[in-house]
Amino acid sequence: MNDPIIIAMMAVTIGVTLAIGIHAYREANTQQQYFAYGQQLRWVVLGLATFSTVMSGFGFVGGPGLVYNQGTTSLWMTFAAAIGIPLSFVLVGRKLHALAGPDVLTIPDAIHRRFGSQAARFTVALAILLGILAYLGSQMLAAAFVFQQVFGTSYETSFTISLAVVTAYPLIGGIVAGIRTEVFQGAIMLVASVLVFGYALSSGGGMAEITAEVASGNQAMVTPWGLATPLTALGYLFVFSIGNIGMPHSTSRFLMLRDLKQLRYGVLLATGAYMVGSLLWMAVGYAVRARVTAGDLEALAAADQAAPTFLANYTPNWLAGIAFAGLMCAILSTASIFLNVGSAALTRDIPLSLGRPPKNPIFWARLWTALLALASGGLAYWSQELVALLGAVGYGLHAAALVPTLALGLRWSGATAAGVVASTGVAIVGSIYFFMTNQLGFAANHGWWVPRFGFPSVGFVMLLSFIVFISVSLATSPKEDK
Amino acid sequence: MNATPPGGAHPRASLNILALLAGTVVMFVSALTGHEQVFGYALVAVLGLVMVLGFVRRRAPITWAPPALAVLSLLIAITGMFATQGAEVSDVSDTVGGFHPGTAFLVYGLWIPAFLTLAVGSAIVFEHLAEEEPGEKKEGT
Repeated sequence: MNDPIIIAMMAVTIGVTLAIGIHAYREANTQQQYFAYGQQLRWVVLGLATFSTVMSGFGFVGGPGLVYNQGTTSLWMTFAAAIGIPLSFVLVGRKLHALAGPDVLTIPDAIHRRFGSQAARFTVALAILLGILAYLGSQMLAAAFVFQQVFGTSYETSFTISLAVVTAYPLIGGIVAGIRTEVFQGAIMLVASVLVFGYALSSGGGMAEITAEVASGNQAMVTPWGLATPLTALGYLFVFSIGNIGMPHSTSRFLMLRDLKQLRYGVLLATGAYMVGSLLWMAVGYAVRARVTAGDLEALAAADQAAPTFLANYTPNWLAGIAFAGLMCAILSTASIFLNVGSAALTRDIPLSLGRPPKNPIFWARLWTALLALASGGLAYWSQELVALLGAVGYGLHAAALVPTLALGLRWSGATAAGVVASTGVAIVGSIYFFMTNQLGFAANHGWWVPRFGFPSVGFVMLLSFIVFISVSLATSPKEDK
Repeated sequence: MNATPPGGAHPRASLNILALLAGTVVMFVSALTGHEQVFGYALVAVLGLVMVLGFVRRRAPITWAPPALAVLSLLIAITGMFATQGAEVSDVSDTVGGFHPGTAFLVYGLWIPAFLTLAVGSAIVFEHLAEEEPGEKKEGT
């Protein structure tokens, strides 16, 4: 790309992000600060930070690409968040805030406080860590991709610099740096979404014209299910609405709240901002498909090129600069919070569940952040294909493992630690099974069972996890929890 | 140490939880067998039951309003999508609000109402949601 305006905007974004991280160094000197923002989070920060991490780089690149490829089908993923984000605030937000305190800084801490079980704390921490390992590498790859697109550097250079940026500021400033940069990042993403949405509509003469143009090429793309089956679309609604409750990078913020009132306007800002981001997801994908159908653009070699192609051809350079900065922000915000939550699992949650409280925890938190980044970065660098496949597993594992535990476990007095351990175990085993079956191709090669009718495999694992959680809780007594 | 669930308004053998178990079993079986309409309506029921867990407070009837309205709009949207999924769009006059008629149900019947009923709704009834239930114990800070 090598456009000086875009390069300047990207450089400023990365520079500001690093500066905020370094500035937060002195504050991030206790576990309460490093992992839980000193439990002083306010609603503006909560709303923008939730938006920027939940949207992630996928919303800015993968989402429009899926609309370009499948039509309406992928909208079910992003529209589902309009149900999922408020549900997470209402179902889990107040409960986690009520449990939060100097000794309760993470979700596994809250599970331990609720059930009094180290086994429940351990299995939840393990599921969070495995999901993060699966997902983090894909964010590293995405950051390197954007860096390479903008700066025109080699893949190796792009990857090394991206890894350094992604790791540096959460390592130095912990969640304090992560949250503060997310406000800045969320604001950029919001501006980029609004402007790009406007340009996308005007590129095709309005939404109705775009819809008619896409339909003239392929009628099924504009129907409510897109090119997939109704069961796929409805499965996405299930997975991405209720599944949102189980995202540790989003729900862990409820343990950082200053007070309960922050939830009231936080939910409006988080959901509203995410919906604005969804407009970009929808409009860019449809607009590029319409232009290809009309013959104004050549068919894309890869669906993920939809957003970069649109920015290069239909927006001014300054807007492309804001959009690329917004994309980098989306990736950085998700990666940084994942590093922090993963570091908390390794520094605090797993050692505590094994009866080994950490000594010098901030040193270990920084060390684990670096090691986690190097491990997932190394995996991403040497096995790009595997990491791209693993990325899809991370969301599913978190959703299946944490949704029953958080949504029911914090609300239902009959929920038990045995239910938590059993459902989390099912989520881990089920996610590994479907990863091997679908992503690694074991189904085709060895005749393993796969779902038919297009229902997402993540949805099956989530449903099984729900059923197991309720059944085991009913079969065991809360009094047995130790 | 075994903390009372803050807001443990849903007792051990809660009808809501048993209905949730039944709903998820129906979803699982219908997803396995490809019965998409059964799955769709079971999903609405399960979403409604999950919303009730978060919203409904025994001493504040107004808290029923957001989940009730959300479930109603979901029902209308899903019924509308199944009814209009076969509509053809040959030019702009066939679109509704810029979209295929079925997709218009998704955008204007599901997506935007979800924000209005759940996000705006929860902000409106926030004071009622924040009230503690009888027997509820404040934990932590």
